[in-house]
Amino acid sequence: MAEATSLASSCEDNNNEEEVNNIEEVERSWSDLPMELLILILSNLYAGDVFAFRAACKSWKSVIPTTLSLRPQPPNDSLFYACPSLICSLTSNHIKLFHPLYNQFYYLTRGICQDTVVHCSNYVTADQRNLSFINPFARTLMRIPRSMCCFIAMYFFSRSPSLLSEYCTIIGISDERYNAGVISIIKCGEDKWSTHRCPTKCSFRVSCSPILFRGMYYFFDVPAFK
Amino acid sequence: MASKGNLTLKSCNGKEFIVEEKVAVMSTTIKNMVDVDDSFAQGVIPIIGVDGKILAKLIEYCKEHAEADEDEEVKSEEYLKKFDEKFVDELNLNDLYDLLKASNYLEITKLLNLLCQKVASMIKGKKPEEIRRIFNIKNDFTPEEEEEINRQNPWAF
Repeated sequence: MAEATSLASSCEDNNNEEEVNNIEEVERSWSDLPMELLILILSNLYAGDVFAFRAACKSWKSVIPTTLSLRPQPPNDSLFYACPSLICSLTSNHIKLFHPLYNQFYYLTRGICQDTVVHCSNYVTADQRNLSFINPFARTLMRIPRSMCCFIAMYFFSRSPSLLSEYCTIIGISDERYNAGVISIIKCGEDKWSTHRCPTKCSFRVSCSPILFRGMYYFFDVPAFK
Repeated sequence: MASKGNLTLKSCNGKEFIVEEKVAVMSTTIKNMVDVDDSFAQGVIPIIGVDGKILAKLIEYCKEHAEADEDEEVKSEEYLKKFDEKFVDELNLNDLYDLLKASNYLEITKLLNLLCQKVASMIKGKKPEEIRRIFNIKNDFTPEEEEEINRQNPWAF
């Protein structure tokens, strides 16, 4: 506890030093940190770090990532989550979703840290520092690694029929000049984006979702990559 | 207007701190106490479970941020960022733990997020055994459970 003494000087008076030292000697148990704090810490991690976190001890393994908390309360209906919502407004602590099936706006009320930018579907943003993605099926927020590219659109594919967030592919599209589009892909098991340059005479039509067909992703009139 | 007044905060080990109200109400918990019951604004507010050293750190943080909210020219965003970085870098593991719990209890959201980011940055890129070493966590998995976890892990450690 030697390093603690350097901080004690910032206290305005030290007449309770003995008592302060007693408190110092109690061992802090990080595995017993309250669940709400562990959830907050976990929400700052992504990809392999999430697994390393959960492999540390039993209590850390039991932390369940934050599920989305929406206002107004969504209907208790599996259709609600089966149908992806459109994300309309994406400032760090004010996220607005539009649900096409229920024709209504929903607001995310908690569970997202400040300085977070959520990317989903067609959304252009200049801030690439904190990429996050909502898995509409598992209803969870995922952190994904940074990319050097500035995406004009991002798409989410879930590989597993059980729709677990761990089994997915995320595709980011950045449109570059000089007749080439850049496609970035990150999959389960990777902690870096892989980037593919795709020479093309026309721009990617990011206004419509790509289609997966026999191992190929197709964009509207532009076959994208294998 | 009472908002220009000072509040007295008392730590669990009896240390008293006189702080400006704008600094104290950075804590949503304290803000709610003061809003609901005016007598708190006059008397001493006990901060249960937070010792003097941690309370001093909390006040140091809230003071900088409250002043920055009031006058952006003197304390720019860049200044605050540097302050935040220095603030978390100087914490030892026990302080980090105590501040996490205290900022959660007192609902100082900005600080709570900052501290959670700091803990996350200590985890990033580390293997489970390194994480255990950093945070003094006992491995309570059986070898079988550990093997199962590693098998399920789609990300290579």
